[in-house]
Amino acid sequence: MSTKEKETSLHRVSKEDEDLIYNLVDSELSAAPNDNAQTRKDKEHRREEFKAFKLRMALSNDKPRPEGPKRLCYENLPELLEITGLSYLDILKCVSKKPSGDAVKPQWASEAEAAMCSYCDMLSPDRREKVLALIRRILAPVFENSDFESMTPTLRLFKANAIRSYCIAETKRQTKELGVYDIYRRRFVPYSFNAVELNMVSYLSISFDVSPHWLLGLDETHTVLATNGETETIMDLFCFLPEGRKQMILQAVQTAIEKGGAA
Amino acid sequence: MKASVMNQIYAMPLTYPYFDEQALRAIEPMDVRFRISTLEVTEKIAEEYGFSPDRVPEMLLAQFQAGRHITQKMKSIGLSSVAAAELSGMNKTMLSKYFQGKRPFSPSAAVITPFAYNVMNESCHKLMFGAEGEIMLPSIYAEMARAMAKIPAEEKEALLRKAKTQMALYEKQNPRDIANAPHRDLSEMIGERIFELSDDKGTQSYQLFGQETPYGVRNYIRQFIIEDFKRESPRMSLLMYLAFETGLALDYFVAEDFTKMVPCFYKAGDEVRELKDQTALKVIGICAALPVEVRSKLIGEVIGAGLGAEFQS
Repeated sequence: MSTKEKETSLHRVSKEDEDLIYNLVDSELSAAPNDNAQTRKDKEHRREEFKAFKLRMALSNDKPRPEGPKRLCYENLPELLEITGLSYLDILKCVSKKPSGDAVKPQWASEAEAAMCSYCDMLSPDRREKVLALIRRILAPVFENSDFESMTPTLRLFKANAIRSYCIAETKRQTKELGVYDIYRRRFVPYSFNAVELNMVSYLSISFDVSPHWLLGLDETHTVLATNGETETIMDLFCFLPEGRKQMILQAVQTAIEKGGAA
Repeated sequence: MKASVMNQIYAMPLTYPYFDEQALRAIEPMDVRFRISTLEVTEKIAEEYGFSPDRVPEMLLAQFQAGRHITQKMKSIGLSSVAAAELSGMNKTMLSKYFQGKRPFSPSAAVITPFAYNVMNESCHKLMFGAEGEIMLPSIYAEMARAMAKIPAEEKEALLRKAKTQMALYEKQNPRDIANAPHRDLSEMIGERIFELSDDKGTQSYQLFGQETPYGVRNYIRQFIIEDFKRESPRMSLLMYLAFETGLALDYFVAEDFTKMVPCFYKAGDEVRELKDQTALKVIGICAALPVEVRSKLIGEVIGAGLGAEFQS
């Protein structure tokens, strides 16, 4: 992979968000008075690892790109989470805000989605697979066939919105109304700074009715709002369903659980 | 020139289907097809709806042929226009004009279903196109068909009873005088049917046929989906165009219960199967006839019953 290709695949976290995340990690790993010896030792070990991680990020800060990213990137987050034992949800809770600066809580865009997520979390893995197959049969193939994986979060968000929304003018109006027109405008910029800022992920996922897990481009090994990776995959697709179909599938899963049980 | 072309159209033999490409081209003189497209009425339709001029002569011809087909059939069964009008709710004067056979048959979308089902005893598609149509069920109904195939007979009957109760309740609130006439606003229903197709495709309703969809059709589809434009009643030419382009029977767009007269198909894996289970057809028909806010729970329960059976297996 050439240096340029490497650069374009990195989506940086803003300086402000980076500071908030590091502060969160510091407070999480600092010793509490009621910690037992084992916990203290574990925290100490994690702190050391975190220091090394932070140093690695900082060292690459002043150097040319081949050595690594300049700042904390989306791609580094899984490593950071593994070191610190935090989750994506903890990070989103810490950084999420509206364009106006008010805090926003990461959550599903509708009650139907929240209910579906809790139902799917209850199901056994093989039953979850059956629900996923059902959604795949009903969902328009365009949402699965589109090459979302290779897109930056911004491009992915607006590509999905272009498929669903009324027209381009409508998307422009919507983004202006939501105060995120700047993000919409730079969706085609092929560099790392066109990524949706981490602090906007919750707000955008609620406003545009997509799963934050899908927006961040995560796989089944990571979760955001669900407790299970497979549920996240189901919810990624479920969010794309039209509102009427969401209600139908929710009712179907509810009926199936009443009839056949969850596990 | 105009009169002579019209005379040539009147002289065309009644062929089935009405606009079979080869039959159309075989008609002498060969330029009749072109001449039809130069008629004032054709130009007006093409201009107003934005249809491809290629399609307009075919649809116009189909409407002439439908008029002739009706006249022949009515004579053979010995039914008067007054009796037919009473059975279908159609205007008597208009119907007697159609019976003369020299007028394109282009009834209002609201009366075509009772006329086709009650009077002609054939599908709307057969009536307007001269050939049997078929319906590839949209994914949500196809999922119902798959679910009904998995559940035991008693449970299917229970679901049918439930659907019938819902329908009876709805009919009580929205009574109708003529059998098979739509209970609800036809524009709203057609809008829902268009939405079902576009939801399956993941596109906007007005782009159902891709970017090449004529502007007139797009505008007309918008009329069905945007509340402000719902005042106008849907036109038969547009509905024929939708049926023609989607490959679905006309009944899917105009009949509340489109499963009555037209064979329905669904995909099971890579295989396309005809839905022959009468109980499943009845349940799907009732669900299609009910408005979306009433049917969504019922559809969910049917699909859920199938999913529950899968869970237990």
